[in-house]
Amino acid sequence: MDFFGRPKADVSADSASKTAKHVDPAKDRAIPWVEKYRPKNINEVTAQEEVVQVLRSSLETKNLPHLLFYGPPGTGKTSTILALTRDMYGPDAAKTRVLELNASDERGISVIREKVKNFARAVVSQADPKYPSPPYKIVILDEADSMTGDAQAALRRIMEKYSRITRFCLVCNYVSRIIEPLASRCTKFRFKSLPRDQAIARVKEVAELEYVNCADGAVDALVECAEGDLRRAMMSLQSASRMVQGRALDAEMVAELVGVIPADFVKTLRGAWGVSSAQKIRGLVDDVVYSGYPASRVLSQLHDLVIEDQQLNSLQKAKIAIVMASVDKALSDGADEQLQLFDMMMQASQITAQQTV
Amino acid sequence: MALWVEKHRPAALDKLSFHSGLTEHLKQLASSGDLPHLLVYGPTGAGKRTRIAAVLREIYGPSAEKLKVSQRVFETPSRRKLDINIISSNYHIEVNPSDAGIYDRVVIQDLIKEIAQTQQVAASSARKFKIVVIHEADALSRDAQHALRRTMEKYMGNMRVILCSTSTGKIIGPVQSRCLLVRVAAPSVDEVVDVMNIVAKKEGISIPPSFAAQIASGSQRNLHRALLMLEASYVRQYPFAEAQDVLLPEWEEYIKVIAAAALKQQTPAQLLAIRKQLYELLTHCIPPPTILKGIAMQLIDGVEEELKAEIVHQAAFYEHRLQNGQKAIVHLEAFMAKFMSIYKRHLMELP
Amino acid sequence: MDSDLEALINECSQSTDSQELRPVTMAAPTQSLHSSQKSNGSHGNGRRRAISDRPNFKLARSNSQAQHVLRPPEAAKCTSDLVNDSADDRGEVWWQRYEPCSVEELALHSAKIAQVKGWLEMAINAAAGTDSSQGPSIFRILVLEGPPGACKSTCVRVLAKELELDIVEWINPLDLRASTAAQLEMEDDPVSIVRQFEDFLLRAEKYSGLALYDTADRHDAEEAKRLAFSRHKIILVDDLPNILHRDTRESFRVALQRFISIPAHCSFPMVIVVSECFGMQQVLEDEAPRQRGRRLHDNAESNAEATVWSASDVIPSVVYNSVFCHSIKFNPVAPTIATKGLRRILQLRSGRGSQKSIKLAQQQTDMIKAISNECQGDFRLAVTMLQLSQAAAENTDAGKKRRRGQAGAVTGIIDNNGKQRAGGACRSALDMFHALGKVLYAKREATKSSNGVSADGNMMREKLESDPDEILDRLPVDLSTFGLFVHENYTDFCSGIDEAAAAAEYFSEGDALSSSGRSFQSAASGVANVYGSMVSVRGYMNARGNPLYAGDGTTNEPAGGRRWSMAAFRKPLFFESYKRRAMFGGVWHDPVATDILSKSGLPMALSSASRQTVVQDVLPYWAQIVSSSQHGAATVGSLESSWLRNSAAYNQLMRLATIGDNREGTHNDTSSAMAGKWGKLVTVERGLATHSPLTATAAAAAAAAATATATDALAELKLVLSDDDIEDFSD
Repeated sequence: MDFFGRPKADVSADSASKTAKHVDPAKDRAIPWVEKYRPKNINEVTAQEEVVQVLRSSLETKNLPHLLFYGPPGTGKTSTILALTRDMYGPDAAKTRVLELNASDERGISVIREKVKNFARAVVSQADPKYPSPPYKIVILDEADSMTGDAQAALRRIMEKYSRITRFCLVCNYVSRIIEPLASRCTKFRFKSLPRDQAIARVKEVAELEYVNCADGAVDALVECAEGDLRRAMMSLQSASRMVQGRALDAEMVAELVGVIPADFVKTLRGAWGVSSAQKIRGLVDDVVYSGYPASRVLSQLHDLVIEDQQLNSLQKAKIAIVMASVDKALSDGADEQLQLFDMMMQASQITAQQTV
Repeated sequence: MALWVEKHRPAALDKLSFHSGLTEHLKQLASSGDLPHLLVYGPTGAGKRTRIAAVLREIYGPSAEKLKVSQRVFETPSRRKLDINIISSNYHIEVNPSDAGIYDRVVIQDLIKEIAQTQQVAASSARKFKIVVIHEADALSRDAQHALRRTMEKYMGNMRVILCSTSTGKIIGPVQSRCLLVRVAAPSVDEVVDVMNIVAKKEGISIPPSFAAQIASGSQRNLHRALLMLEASYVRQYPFAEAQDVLLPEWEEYIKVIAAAALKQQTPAQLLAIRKQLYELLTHCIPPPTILKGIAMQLIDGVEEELKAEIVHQAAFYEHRLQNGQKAIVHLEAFMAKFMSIYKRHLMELP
Repeated sequence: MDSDLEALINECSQSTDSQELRPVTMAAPTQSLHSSQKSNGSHGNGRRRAISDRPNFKLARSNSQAQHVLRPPEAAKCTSDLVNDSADDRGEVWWQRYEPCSVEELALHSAKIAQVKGWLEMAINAAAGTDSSQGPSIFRILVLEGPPGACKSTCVRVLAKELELDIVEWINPLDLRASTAAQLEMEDDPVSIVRQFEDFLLRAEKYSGLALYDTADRHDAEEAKRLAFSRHKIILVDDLPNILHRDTRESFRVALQRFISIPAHCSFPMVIVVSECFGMQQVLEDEAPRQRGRRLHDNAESNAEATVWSASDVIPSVVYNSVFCHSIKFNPVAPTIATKGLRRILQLRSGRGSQKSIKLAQQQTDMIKAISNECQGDFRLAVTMLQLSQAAAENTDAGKKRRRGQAGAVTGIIDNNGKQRAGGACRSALDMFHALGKVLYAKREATKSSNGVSADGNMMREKLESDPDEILDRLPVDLSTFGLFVHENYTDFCSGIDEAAAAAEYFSEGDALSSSGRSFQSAASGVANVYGSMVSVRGYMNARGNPLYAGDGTTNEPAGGRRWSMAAFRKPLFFESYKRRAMFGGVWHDPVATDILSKSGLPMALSSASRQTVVQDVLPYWAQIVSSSQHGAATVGSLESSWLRNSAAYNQLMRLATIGDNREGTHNDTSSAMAGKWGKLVTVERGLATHSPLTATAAAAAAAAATATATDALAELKLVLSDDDIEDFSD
C-alpha cells in the first residue's frame, strides 16, 4: 500500500523504533505492519512521483482542489492523503482538521451530511505555525466506490455547499464507479501499480526491521502473489512471520499462505486436455474443489500456462482464452465453482483435441 | 447423548486426525500469543469448524468451550428488527450473518464495534483480544465485506476476525489481503475411513472395510456426512453387511429420480412433471444451484460421451443464470428443457 | 348456456376487426382504471361503458317506475334523489336485503352446512361443560376458508340464529379523522388496532370469567355458569386487522395464541372467517430484497407479488396446527347452487313486487343461469349482478331493445363491478386469464394463404393477433406474477420439447434481465423488469411454432390438443412453494426446533453451521436416526419421553428432512395439502375457461353448449368430492 522511498528508509526505521519503545511489546505486535510503516509525510511516498509532485506544489500554494484518488488496492492512496494532511496541519492539528469516513461507517447520505455539517462547524485547534495550515478542513471519503449512486449524487450538493471551508478527497479503486458529475468536480489522480523491484525492496526492508527470517525467493514469491498490492504483501508477511516463529520463511510456505496452487497440480489439469474422458476430467475438477483451491486462482494459473504453451496454436489459445474469460465472469457473479470449472475444462479439452485431429 | 458427529468431534488441536502439517501451523499461531485475522476455507465437511474451535481452545483454554446460545436483536436502518442467533463464550462470538439476509452489514458493524468497545472488560483475561468467528463468510454481501475491510485494521488492537468459508472466490480482495489464508482440504478417502474406524472403535462397533470405503466415497470426502451416513446405516442395520447400500439423503435420491425421468422421456408433459418435482425440492430449502448441479451430474453419467461437454456447458450456463436471476424454477426448468431437447435430437440422429 | 351470452361471446372473439366489442368481456380494469378514465377510454372501454350506463340513468330519470339501480359510487350523489321510489328496497343492496334467514336458504351445499353446524354444536356443548369428563374443550377456533362470496359469514350468522347463539363480532375500528388510507397508515399506529383486538378477545374472556368466579361458593358458581351459558356466545372475527402490515400481523398472531391459552370454559368459541383472495403481499421479501425499500413507498403497486391469501398466512401455524383449531374449507359456490339461490331471491321479489316478473320468468331463468356461470362462485357478486340486470331488465321491459338490454346488462354489471372492486379477486382474475389466454395461445392473424407458415419458419409468419405490449400494459397484476402464470402453463401449449426448450430459454433470459441483479443499478430495475417480461412473453410467443390462427380453431391443434377446449390454467406452484419454504426456513428461529436439535446433540447446528449443510446433510440423517425406534431411543433419549416429539416444530423438521415418496406418510400429507389448494382454484378456473371467448372459439359451438351443462353437473359433484379429487376431475 504505502511505503517510504528508499533514501528515506533510515528515517522511517528511526521513527518505527521510537514508537516501539513506549508501547508494550504485546500491544505493538498487534499493530498491523501496514499501519506501522505507513509513510509519515508526503515525501516518503515515492512510487507515485507525479501525484506527489502535484500535491507538494499545492501544499506550498495552500491551494488544494477536491481530490479523487483511484487505482488498484495497495498502491498508497489512503496513505498519500493521510500523509498530505499531516504535512499540511501537523500531526496534532490534523485530528481536528480531517474527517475520515469509510465504508465500515454508516454512510447513508444523511449521515454524511450530518457529519460533514458538524465537522465543518466545529472549532479547530490552534494551527501549528510550523505547517502551512490552510484555512480549510479535509474530508476523506475512503472506499468511495462502494457508495450508492444516490448517495454520490447527494454528495455533489454537499461538496458545493461546504466547498469554502472543506476540501473533499475521494479514494476509490474504480473511477468508473464514481458518477460523472462528482468525478468532474475533483482533480483525478491515478495511482499506478507498484514496480516489482520497489515492492520487493520495501518488503525486504520491513522483514529486516521485524526480524523475519526470509529464505531466498520468499520475498519474491510474496510480492508475486500480491500482484502489485503492497498492503497484501505486508499482510502476508506479517501473518507468515507469526506462523513460522523464527524459522526461515520459504517460498513454498508463502505459496500456501496466499493460496497459490502447486504448479504440478495445474500442469496435471492442463495435461488432461484433449486426451481425457469426461469422467476423468470430472475427477480432476472434484480434486480441485475438494482441495479447496479457489477456482478463480486455478483459472488464472491455467491461463498463464496456456499463454506459454507450445503445443497449442494461436487460434486455440484465443478460443481457450475466450472460454476462460466467460467462465471467470460467471465465477465473479458467484456461479458454482465446480460446474464452471468442469465446463471450462471440457471446452478447453475439446478445443485442444481439434488440433490433434 | 448426541449424534456421533458431535459426540466424537475432537476438541483440541492435538486430537485432530489429519492435515498434521496444518495442525502444526495452527498450533504455532495459537501459541505465539497473537493471531492474525484468519480466513479458513475449504469444502464442507473438511473440518473447518472443528479446527476453529480447537484453535480457540488452544488460545483461551477449555473455558472457551463453554458456549451459550443467545438471541440478539439488531435494528436495521429501516427500523426492522432482526433476531440473530449468536453463540458466544467469554472470549469469542460466533455469528452466522446469512441469517440477517441483506442486513448482514448491520450485524457485522454492530457486533464488531461492540466487541471493540468492550476491550476493557476483556483486558483482565489472558489475551488482549476477543475473537469474532463469522461463519459462511462467502454469503456476506459486498456491503458487509466492505464494512469488514476497515474495521479489521482499525480494531486490530483488541479484536480478531476468523472468517469461515467454503471458497475464497466470493470474498473480496481487500478482505482476503487482510487475512491469513488457511486452507482446509477435504480429507482423502483413506483419511475418512480412518476417522470412521476411530469413531466405530469408540462406539464399539466394527465396520467391514469395503463398506467403510463405500461410505467414504459416497460421502464425497465429506467427513461430516460420512459420519452421519455411518450412524444412519448403523441405525438401519447392524451388523453391517459387506454390500449394504449406502444411505443417501432423500433429496439426492429425489434428484436421481428427476434425472432418470428426463432421460426416459422428452416431452412437454414430462417437463411439467419434472417442474413439480423441482418445486418439491425447492420447497425443502435445497439450494437451487445444488439441485442443478446434482441433476447435471446425474445426466452426464447417463448420456453418451459426445454429449457430455454440451450438457456441462448448458449446466454451467444456467447455473450462472441462477445467480443473476430471481426465480430459480425458471432457470432450472430451462435447463431441463434444454437438456431434453438436446438429448432428443441426439436420440433421433442415432441409427 | 344462455344463448344471448353465447352469441355475444362468439361475436366478441371472432370479430377481430372491432376493437370496440372485445372489451365487453376482456376489458381489463387495471389499477389505473379509477383514475384515468379519460385516457383509457380511447379504446372500447369507455364507449362500451357508455352503452351499459346510459340506459340505466336515462330510464332512472324518465321512468317513475324505476326500480332500484345500483350505481357506480361516483354517480351516487347526483342521482340519489331521483331513483328508488319503490319504498321497499330503498338504498339497500340485495345481498344484504335478501340475506338468508334459514339454513335452507343458504347457497351452500348441505354437507358443508352440516359440518359447520356440527362444529358449533360441539363447541357449545364443550364450552358449557356438559361433557367435562373429556377434558378441556378442543373446539376453540374454527377457521372458515374460502374464496370471497362463498357464503362463509352468512353461514355462521344463519347457524348462530338457528342454534340461538349470540354473536360477538369484532369490527375493525375505523378512524374517521384519517381521510385516506395512506393517512391512516401514516398517522395511526396500526399496531394499536391489534391491541384493541387483543383487548376485545380478553374482554370476551373476562366477561364470562366474572360470571363464573365472582360468586363465592361452588354451588353458586354452578348456578352462575348455567346462567352465563343459558345463551351461548360465539366470537366472530370476520373483519381481519390489516394483516398485510408486518407488525400488525405479528401481534395479531400473538393475540390468537394467547386466546387459545385461555382455558376453554372461560371463553367462547371463536370463528374466524378468512377470505382467500389475490392480494398484494410481500412474498418475495427475501428473494428481491432490493425492491422492498421501494415497495414501502409506492404502496405495493408495481413490485409486490400477487398471491393467494389463505388461512395459514393469517393464523400462526402454532395455532393453526394445534388441536384447538379446526378448519373448514368452502368451495366457490357452484353454478347450480347459485342458480337456486338467485331463484329464491327473484321469487321473494316477485312475491311482493311487480307482476311483471312472472311474465319474465323464462328470460329470468336464462339470465340467472348466465349470472351463476359468470360469477365464478362468488355468490355476493352474483346477487349484485342480478340486482343490476334485474333493474335493467325491468326497465328495458318497457323499452324495445329487450334482447340487447339483457345482454348489455349482464356484461355491464361485470364492468361496473370490475370498477368498484378494482383489484378485487374475481375481476382481476378473470382478466388475468384472458391475458394468459392471449399470450399462451399466441394466435396469429388470419392469412390469405391459409396455412401460411413458410418453410423457413419464423420470418414469414403472420402478425400476432394481439400485441404483446398491449397485453402487458393491461395486466391486472404485476409483470412478474404474470410471468409466473405464463411460465406455469406454457408447457401445455408447446407441441414438442424443442419448442418448450426455446420458450424456457426465453423465460430464463427474461428473468435474468428483470432481476435487479448485480449488473443493474437499483433505479434501473423497474425498467429492466419491463424489458425482462417483454423478453419472456415475446420470446415465448415467438417460440411457439404451429400457431393458431384467429377464427380458425380447428385446423391447427397442437400435439397436446387434449385440453384445447377445456384448458384450465394452472396457478403457479411458485407461491405455495415459496410460502412453504419460508415456513420451513422459519424453523431456524423456532425455539422449540432449536431445543429439539440441541437435545439431539446438535446445539451448533442451528446457529453456526451453514444452512446448506444442515438441510442437505444433517437433517436427512438426523431424521432417519431419530425416527428409527430402537436406536433413536438411545441416541436421543431425552426426546423420546418428551412432548417435543409431538410438537409442530418437530414435524416441521421431519418434513423438511424428508422429500419425495420414499416416506409415504409425511409426503402425502404435504402434497395433498398442496393439491387441495390447486383443486379449489381449478374449480374457479374451469368455470372461467369454459366461458372465455378464446376457448369458445376454439371449441365447436355445439361442444360449448354441451360443456355448459356438463359443467353444472360436474360442479355439483365437486362439492361432494373432496378437494383433492377435483384436479383429476378437470382433466
